[in-house]
Amino acid sequence: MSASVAEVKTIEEFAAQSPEYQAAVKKLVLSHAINELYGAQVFDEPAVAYAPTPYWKWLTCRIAMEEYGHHVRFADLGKQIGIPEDDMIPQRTAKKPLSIFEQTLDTFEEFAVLKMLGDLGEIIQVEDLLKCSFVPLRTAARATMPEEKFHVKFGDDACAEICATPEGKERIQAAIDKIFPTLPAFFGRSNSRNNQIFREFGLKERTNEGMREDYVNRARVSVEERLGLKLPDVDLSQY
Amino acid sequence: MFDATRVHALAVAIPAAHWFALCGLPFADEERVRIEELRLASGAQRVERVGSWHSVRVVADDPRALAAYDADAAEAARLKSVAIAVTDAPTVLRATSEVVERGLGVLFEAARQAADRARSDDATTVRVAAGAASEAIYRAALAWALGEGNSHRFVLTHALFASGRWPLARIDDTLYVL
Repeated sequence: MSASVAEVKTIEEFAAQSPEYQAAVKKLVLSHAINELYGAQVFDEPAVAYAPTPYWKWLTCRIAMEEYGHHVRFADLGKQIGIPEDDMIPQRTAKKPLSIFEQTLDTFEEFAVLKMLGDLGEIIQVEDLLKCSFVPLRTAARATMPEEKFHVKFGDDACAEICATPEGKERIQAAIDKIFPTLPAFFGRSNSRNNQIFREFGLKERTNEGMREDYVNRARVSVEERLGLKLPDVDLSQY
Repeated sequence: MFDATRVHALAVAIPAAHWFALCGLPFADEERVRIEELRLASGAQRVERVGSWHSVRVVADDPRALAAYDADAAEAARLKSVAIAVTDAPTVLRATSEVVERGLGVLFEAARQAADRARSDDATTVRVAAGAASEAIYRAALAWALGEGNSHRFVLTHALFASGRWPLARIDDTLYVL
């Protein structure tokens, strides 16, 4: 956090901040609220049907519920800071969810890969909020972290189990080839003006490009070191 | 008719139920009627008590359990379609979302305590349990709100969960209950 940025500890203190600070916080909260719900609706809930047995179906159901719970947490904070409820519901707002939601998931393998790699991206974003100057947002982020870590672990474990057979390895590799290229965009444009503002206000610490590079390195560990598969090459200069 | 007040009643009762409290224990006499009712409604010929929390994956991850699960999923989808047809999708979603929200922490904590009692540190099974219970409450809410009656298998499944048991799976002609 920038040394010159004081903590904003409460909703009341938030209301006394500059319009620019308030707008920046609202952008972050809105993004998290919309994308948690949209992800649960588009990916997690439908994945229950793809899961192979009741054990995996119930586990996927719980993961979907936890993602929905993250939406509720960020949406509750959003209401407290004056974001209209409809703005935080994907079907009622003009704000588009992240581009990663434009793809479809068609198999349980793809869901497992999305949890392994997609939620890894989410962890990096949430890690960047853990010293956020707006304390209620820091608290909300911190509260979601244990579940997000479990979701990544679920993805890691499910992928590892599926990769126990050669056919399974092929299916997981195919899922990685399909899904991973869409994920680096999750971190936004490089040299982003929004990101610069977030950092000036002490809301975030890292640049988009820094998080993206970190993400690719950590994804490579998951895919190449742990699973023995290949992470598709992505040209990071395109962002 | 879709009676959302019944869904609300089910949701507010979540904290008071005995989720997973009897898992692993022998069946008590007073439970046998409830278990028999579910056996009949599920079409199983016999009931097998699963004696250990540690056996959850063995039973619930058996591919043979899928047929009965899929039949239940189809019934849930049918009930949801009926519910939406007699009211509207936002009303059904609003009502059933309360069930999800109220169960989020309660069911997880109850499952975690059951795992502790079984001396299990398997965080995944805790989530499987919480997911199973939540699904049971959601399906019972749909059935009950549509006036399906206390003999519907979803209402009976929920009752067994709320009493402290976990109906793990129906495999062939056997209903497995933890």
